[in-house]
Amino acid sequence: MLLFVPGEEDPIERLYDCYAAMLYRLALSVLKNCEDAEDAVQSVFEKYAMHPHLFLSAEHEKAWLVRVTMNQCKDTLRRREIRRAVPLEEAVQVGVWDKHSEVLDSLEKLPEEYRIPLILYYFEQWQVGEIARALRLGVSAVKMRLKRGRELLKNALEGGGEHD
Amino acid sequence: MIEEARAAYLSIVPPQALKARVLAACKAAKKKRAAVRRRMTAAAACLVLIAGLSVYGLSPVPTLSSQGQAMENGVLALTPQTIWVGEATSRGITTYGVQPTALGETVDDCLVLTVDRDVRISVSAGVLYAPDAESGTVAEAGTSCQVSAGTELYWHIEEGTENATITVRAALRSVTFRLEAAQDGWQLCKSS
Repeated sequence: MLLFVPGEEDPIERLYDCYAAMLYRLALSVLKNCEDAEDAVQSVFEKYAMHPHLFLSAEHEKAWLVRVTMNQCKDTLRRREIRRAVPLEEAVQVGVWDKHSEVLDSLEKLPEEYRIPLILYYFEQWQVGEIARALRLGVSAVKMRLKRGRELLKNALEGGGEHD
Repeated sequence: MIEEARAAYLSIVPPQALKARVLAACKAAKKKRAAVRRRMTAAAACLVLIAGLSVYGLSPVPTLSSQGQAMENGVLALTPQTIWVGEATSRGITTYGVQPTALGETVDDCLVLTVDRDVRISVSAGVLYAPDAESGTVAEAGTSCQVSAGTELYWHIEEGTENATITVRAALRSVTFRLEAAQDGWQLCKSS
């Protein structure tokens, strides 16, 4: 993937075409709400437009976008917790993925610290090092979370259902 | 199983309308950035001028005032957003009748609404009542008012009014809801 396209004045559209779907899916997995996920994606690209970055590599570009997206989601969740009158469990949409997949349904129930690395590794097919850089974790920490996440997912699929 | 799940996961994509909205918002953000840089350059030039003049014993004190950056939502493509209303577990809420406000005053026969972010609300029929930010009393706000996240708002509307709508406008988008009858009284449905 080219970071600098000769003659490219505005990289936003290229970044959107390359990454928006991935960022949207990540935001949706955290926020469990389509409209908040769209807002999060929009905010990420607006932040880039206000403060453009010179990326050293495609990996750097991807990591920056994911990190900003995760931070944006955390801000949204914090604001939600402060303002919401209805308990969070009641307000969350049931079946946020809206796909008939046992794995996705079980994945949705995992804590975010395990769910996000699993999604990036198995679904978006990132390397462990890439995940570590994007999430600002050590490589060992990512490996542990993948391992623990797999165990929890396996339990959930087998009907164990106990999560940390 | 994982491959199936992966295929299902990757099939989740944002709506088409999001791209246009993002590109429009980024274009507006770039204009804002350019305006900020122009002001900073102008400010720097003024400082240089002051410093230069002070060398000669002349020292005007210019007023470097910043202008507000009011970004109107009209430049962005707008799509519906989430609004949390009332206290029901479903999205429909009931008429509360006589409803004491958190501020201790009573507004009769009003539909009670709360929103999850700072918004401007306007209605096509009826009257809005909102608590005054300073005095705390509930007063008539007319057909449009600005409210902060979590504020309780009261919409007085005559029973049987047809085609009543309420529009909620926030920083990134706005949405219009239609007031409709429901099993428990009434509900708000997003307009297409």
